[in-house]
Amino acid sequence: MLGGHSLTRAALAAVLAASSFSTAVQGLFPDEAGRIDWYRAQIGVPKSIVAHTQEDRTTNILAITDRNVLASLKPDSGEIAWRQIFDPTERINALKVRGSLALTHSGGSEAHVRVWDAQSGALAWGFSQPPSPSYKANSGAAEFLRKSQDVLAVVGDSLVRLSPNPSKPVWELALNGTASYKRLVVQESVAFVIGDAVRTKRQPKPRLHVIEVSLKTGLVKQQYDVGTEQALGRSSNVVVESNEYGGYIVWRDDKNIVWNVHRLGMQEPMWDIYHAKLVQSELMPVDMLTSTLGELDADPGLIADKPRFTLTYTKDTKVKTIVIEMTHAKDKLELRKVVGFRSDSAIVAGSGGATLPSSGASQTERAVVAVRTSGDISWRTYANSKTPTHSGEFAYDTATYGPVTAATLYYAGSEPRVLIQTSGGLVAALAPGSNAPVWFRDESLAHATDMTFLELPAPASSAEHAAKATDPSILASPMSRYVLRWVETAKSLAAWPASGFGLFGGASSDAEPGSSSQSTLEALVPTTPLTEGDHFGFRKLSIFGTSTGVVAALSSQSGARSWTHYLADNGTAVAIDRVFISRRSQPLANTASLLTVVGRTGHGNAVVATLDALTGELLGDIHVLPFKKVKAFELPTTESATEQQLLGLATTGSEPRLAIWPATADAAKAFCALPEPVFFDLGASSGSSQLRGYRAECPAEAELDAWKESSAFSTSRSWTFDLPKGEVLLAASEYRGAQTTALLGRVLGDRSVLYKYINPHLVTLASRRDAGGIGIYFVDRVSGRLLYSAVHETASASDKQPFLATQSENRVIYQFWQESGSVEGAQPRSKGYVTVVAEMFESDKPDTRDESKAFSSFDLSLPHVITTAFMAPEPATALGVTRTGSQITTRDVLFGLSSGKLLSLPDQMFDPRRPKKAPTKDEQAEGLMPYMPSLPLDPKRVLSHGNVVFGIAHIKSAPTHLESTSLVASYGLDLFFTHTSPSGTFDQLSPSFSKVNLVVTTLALVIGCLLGGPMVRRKLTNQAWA
Amino acid sequence: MASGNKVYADFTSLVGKPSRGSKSVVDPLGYDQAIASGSVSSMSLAHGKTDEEGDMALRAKKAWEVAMGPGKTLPMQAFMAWMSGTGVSIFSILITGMILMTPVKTIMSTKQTFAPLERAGKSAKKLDLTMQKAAFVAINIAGLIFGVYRLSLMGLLPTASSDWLSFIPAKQYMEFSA
Repeated sequence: MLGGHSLTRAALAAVLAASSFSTAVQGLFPDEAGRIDWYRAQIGVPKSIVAHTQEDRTTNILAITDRNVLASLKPDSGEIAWRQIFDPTERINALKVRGSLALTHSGGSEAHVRVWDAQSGALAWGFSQPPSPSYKANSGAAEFLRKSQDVLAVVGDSLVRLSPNPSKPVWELALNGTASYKRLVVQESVAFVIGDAVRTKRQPKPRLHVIEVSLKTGLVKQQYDVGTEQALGRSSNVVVESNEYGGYIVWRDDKNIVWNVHRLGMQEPMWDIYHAKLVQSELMPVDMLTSTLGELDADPGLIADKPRFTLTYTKDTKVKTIVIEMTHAKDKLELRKVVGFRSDSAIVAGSGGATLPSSGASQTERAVVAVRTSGDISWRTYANSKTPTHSGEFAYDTATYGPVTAATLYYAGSEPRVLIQTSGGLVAALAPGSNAPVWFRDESLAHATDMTFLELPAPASSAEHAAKATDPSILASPMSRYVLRWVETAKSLAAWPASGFGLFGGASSDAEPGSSSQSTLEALVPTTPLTEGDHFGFRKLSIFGTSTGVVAALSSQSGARSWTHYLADNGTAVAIDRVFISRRSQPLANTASLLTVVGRTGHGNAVVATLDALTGELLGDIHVLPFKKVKAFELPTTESATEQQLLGLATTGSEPRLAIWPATADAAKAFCALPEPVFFDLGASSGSSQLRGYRAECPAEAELDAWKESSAFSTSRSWTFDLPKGEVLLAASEYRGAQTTALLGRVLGDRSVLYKYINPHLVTLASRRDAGGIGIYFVDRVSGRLLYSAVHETASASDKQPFLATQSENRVIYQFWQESGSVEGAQPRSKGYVTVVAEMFESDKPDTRDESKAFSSFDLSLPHVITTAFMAPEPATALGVTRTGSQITTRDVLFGLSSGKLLSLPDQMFDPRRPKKAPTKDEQAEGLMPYMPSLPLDPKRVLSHGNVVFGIAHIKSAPTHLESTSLVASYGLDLFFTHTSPSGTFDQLSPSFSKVNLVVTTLALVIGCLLGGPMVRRKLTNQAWA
Repeated sequence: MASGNKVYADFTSLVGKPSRGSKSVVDPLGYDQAIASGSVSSMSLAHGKTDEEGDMALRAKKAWEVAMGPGKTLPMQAFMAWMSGTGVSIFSILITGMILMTPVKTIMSTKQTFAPLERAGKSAKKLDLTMQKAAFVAINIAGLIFGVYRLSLMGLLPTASSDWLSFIPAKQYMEFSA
């Protein structure tokens, strides 16, 4: 009896244990966990990096970037420790670091000085100076005082001394607009303010102006001009400073071979004259004439023991750089060569200083780093002799991110790390002896100007792929396609037992590395380009063009880089404006997809390059065209030989011309064979007051035959749209991409139809009115006709509250800031962001339609516009709309919010027909929601959920093969990609759908039929005999 | 044994002529053997003619009743339709289906419905029921129209422009602009 009990217990325990084990080993695959998005936080291309090791051996890497971000990077991984994103209108001018504090100076006439805790990124204190009328452009500097937490800053047109938590400055000195002050040299009791002096009639030459100020009182001790023909930042002068020996300005006069060294504050003699011989260099007078001077440190005040600068010269076609140190011996200045080395092929010599912790006591080592810019990356650090202290080398292809442009040195323990920056936007940390970066950041995408999706070829298991291998005609009929699919499925089923019944790694087919975290694991150069899509079209290539010259292709599903290519012309990065997929590879053809990139050179000339969209390989050369372009767009025709889609490039000038790409006779003929005339508009840029329409004209046949790159079609001005007097253009918006419409009208509750007015030529213009408010104009781009206009008298448009608009189908949605109206009597009921929706119909009466089969902009019909307005919950930085394959699914309107959210609101919410009173029966039948004045910020509708996506400037959407689902990409500073189903996933089985149940049920039914059949037959026979 | 305490009539005492077999069956009341066997005189024939006329009139009357029959169900159907509402639901669809199908089926079976009334026997004279049939069909058509009206009430008839919206081709654009 007892034995029986214990046996049962043992069995129970065994079952329990087994069940607990079975749950313990369960795990989720990324897709099961709902991982449908990826996010990448970015900072932008740094313009200044200050790396500083404190006495407690913690290293801070602080950077200010071209995207107006102040960021701190973790020295061992490159991840963002913290970042502060400044308003785009408030440019960060300077970054200084002292101990655990960082100081920034930002803004222009209205200047801001902020002190941050370098460890946490918290704002310690800040000071703002109101705008000053006598402010000189580019004026502004800030510096910590020595042995004090006080800050000296040039703000607006004043020099101020600030102490922590200032309500007002300790003292303020008016600078009276005498110069554009950019540099401060702080000493024990005095400070020098250096700037480019204002040119006057008496002194028309550029020169530097120096003011010596007492730090205690803020009184001017003396001020004078020095360095004729010099301006700060030129390579013919350098400002060096040291704690011990004071500050200096060193310059070389134009066409002169000697250096003038001016010690700040010295008046008699004004400067000393030095010769290169003093630094034991072999400079001949001729070499001296082309020599340049350079500063070494990003933050010279940080480690100012002995001032240093560089001299670079060319001797016998060899470029050499020497680092010069200034010392004083018995009140006499001495220049000493620290190290000199060959710096051929434009080596960048950067320097970094670090408090190097060794044997307990801190000591400072000042090293110089030299990085080769062309070919593979190779670097050396030098301390005090020609022999390098550390070196490193690794294979790097400049075609991926461009040549190295800057370097900084910092220390991890006692080992140096070299932080390099390339012109494409790569930031990488290198360690001695390592053949790969310790970490890297691809910051080029923070400068993305355009993005396009490329459909990837069908996967190997797809019917298309199978048909391509066997018989392409199978794809012709749906039935044979279906059979083919079964055959392929059966084949893969045969391989199923071999794969361990899909138990091992089946679902993790997308083995790309997730890049939501910092890509320390990713290879710098992607080794496996993404060449295959998935069955549902979720995996596409998102190809970015950036202003730093990088074209980058990323997986839309995981964000993993597939390839990058750096485009440069004569050593300058091509600023890419647009990227076009100019040829899509057909599923069964062997032609590659082509990507055409349109950009501009440093001189502004148009540049066109064609790349293989799948591999990133540059096909042919980069074509620099002999004109400047203002606009690039796709034309609805292809070149017959290459099947490449034609691009139109409108040139600048009073008589603009239209160039085409590819610039061949074939393409020109294809253009002239277009059935419809081609119109384009110019002048739709901010600040303009006129929009002009042009029509391209085809020349004679002979001219087409002789078509070349410099050829272009002449145009005739077909219309001019002048904004009313006292108005300037604020923003313009147009349709993006081809518009697909599932239904041409809107079905009302009584089953009548309001027909949509869909005009692909519609341009929405917003103007700033001198009288206050914003004017809205809907203009037809072909005829120049005004289709609709509105005035929002209470609106205000400033740089801080931009105007945003998006157009989709027959709707225009725009957002602006509403404040107390400047027009009398026009008081808004509320202050805030207003979203206006304008929906266009062919007529105000239902069932009334223009019956013609063709739409011409020259027809006299005008749209009937219904509008309504909503209060937006938060300021937006970008607007977008989801797109699906056939647009049967309802759309979602996407808002990139300045708080870093990507919000998606249903289209129905923006219906201008939403009833403002109790809805009638018809309105109810139509499914109209009653009007609510404010748009909800529903956390469930935030697509970016926990991710903070800062600086969304563009929102793009692409359809997948599933009608319910569309891909959504948002970029600007950060990147965030996801997919969304505005009407629910109606064409997908839910994850809880049990296929096993379905199969078992079907099998059970079949077995039931087989078993039951004979029984029923026997019964029927017996019945017949009865 | 059969007697017991039950009451029974023994007609053997009334009719002396036994029929074949040992058991004799009594003719039902009103049964005339002579007329049945046709061994009656011309007098009886004349009497038969008037009888046939009456019968035809009777059948015509009956046919009118049959023809009007569906009309009586119409109010009932209308009531059911009203009760089920104009929403598209399983009940309203079933009822509308019934309303629509019944007249169609009935019209199809017009011939069979009137066949027994048209000709009493194989030799009997054919009765002209055209008017009745026409009325019958007309009433059923009215029922059908009611069904169709109900369909339109339910919004199931493609009469509105919205029903044809998907078939409207998109407009061709005469110009290209960018």
